[in-house]
Amino acid sequence: MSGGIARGRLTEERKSWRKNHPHGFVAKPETLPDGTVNLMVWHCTIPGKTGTDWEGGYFPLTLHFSEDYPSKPPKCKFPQGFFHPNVYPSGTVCLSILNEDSGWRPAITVKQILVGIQDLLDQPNPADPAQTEGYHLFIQDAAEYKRRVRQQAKQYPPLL
Amino acid sequence: MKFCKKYQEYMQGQEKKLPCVGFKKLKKILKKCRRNSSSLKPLNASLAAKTCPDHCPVCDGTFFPSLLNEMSDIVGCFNQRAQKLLELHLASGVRKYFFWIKGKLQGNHTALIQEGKDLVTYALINAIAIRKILKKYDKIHYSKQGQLFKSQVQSMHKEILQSPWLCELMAFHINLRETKVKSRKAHALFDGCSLTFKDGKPSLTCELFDSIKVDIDLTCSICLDTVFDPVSLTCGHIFCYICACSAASVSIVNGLKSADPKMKCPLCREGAVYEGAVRLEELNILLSRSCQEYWEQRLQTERVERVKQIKEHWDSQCRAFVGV
Repeated sequence: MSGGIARGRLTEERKSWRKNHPHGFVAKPETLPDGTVNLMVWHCTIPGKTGTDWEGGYFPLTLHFSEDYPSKPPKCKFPQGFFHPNVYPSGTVCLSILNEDSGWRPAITVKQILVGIQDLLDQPNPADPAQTEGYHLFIQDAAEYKRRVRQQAKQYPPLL
Repeated sequence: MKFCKKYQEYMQGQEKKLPCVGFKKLKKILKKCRRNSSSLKPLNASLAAKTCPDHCPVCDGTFFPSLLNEMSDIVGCFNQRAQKLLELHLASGVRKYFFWIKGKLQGNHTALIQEGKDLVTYALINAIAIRKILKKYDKIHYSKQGQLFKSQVQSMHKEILQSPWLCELMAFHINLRETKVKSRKAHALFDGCSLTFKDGKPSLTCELFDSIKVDIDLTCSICLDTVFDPVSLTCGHIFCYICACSAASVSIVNGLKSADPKMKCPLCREGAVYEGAVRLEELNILLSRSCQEYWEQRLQTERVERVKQIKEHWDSQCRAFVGV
């Protein structure tokens, strides 16, 4: 309906995040070359959960907000070719809470989105596959799936 | 003193006969059920659970329908009286002058404040009564049917704590707190309402003799800020008016009444909640007094947004009229 609401909400999200956010996560609005901040695109990092095959990986994620946010959910993208049953080849995350027609509610915060995606990493939803490779390995070859996940975690070490 | 006795004393102390929970009658139904199940002499709780299943043939046919009717009557009566009371208080123009004269003749202002307190107490004490009787049901039946019934009632909007008028009355009570009113005896039950701030986020709090605490969060879950020009949807969730319009995909000019019934609440995703939305004017007054700096700031940004939407609306109207 209005970009004013989207920007106001994102300003509050930023304030809330800076005040308190889960350990290991990063979420920052994009800074343009001229030094201005673009609130409509956030660059985030999701840490792999401790005690899982994803541990040790710090996975980059970009959130793209539209002028209709929070009425419409943000588009969440990992790098292209990211290995996970519920991530499209383009990198877009397929998750019910990010689907406008099913689980999305304007009350869902950036914090909840990132934690939800972190949970999804180690608990894929085979009922909603988004890529062939990740899905088939998850269903048919658990050992190879685990190996690929660990390999990917090594590809995304923490940024010092 | 047992709650049942306290409740009956309170209800009998009311000057007007008000709908209430038939505590004694409902307890009798449960006693009858207990007798029937204990005659089977179960050895332990797990066996008792088998003899008195989730759907109890002895009391389900009378207990839940009876309680539902009582809850409907209580909510209906409360909403009607609260609405009438707040209309009197918030009247403007000629109506205000008329009520003022009427009040002068009848010494009505004090009675108005007193009735506000009475209604909040009435709502809270009935909420406790309902909670207690449902707990008792679950205890006797070793079931969760009582809890299930409570959530069904909430979706039917018959839960008194969901009523937007409760929030309005609490704000009304705080707004008029300066006025000293001699409380009747019944108000030993009522500890009053307060507006509290936690991490800069406001909430309305109300306590009733240590048994129940109502906490209404006043942060809009769309803009994540203090609700401005608050509106309560029929599901009971509160938002800024402009945010609710945005969520319902309608302009401020057309208002929430024009929202598509398919549009869902931004919090609970319940449909058809916009048409019966209530503007919380007392709460608006309370917040504008309590957060003046924020209010001024928000007023500026809101004005810009409203002007923009009105301009867009008239542009589209003109285009439609000209046939472009």
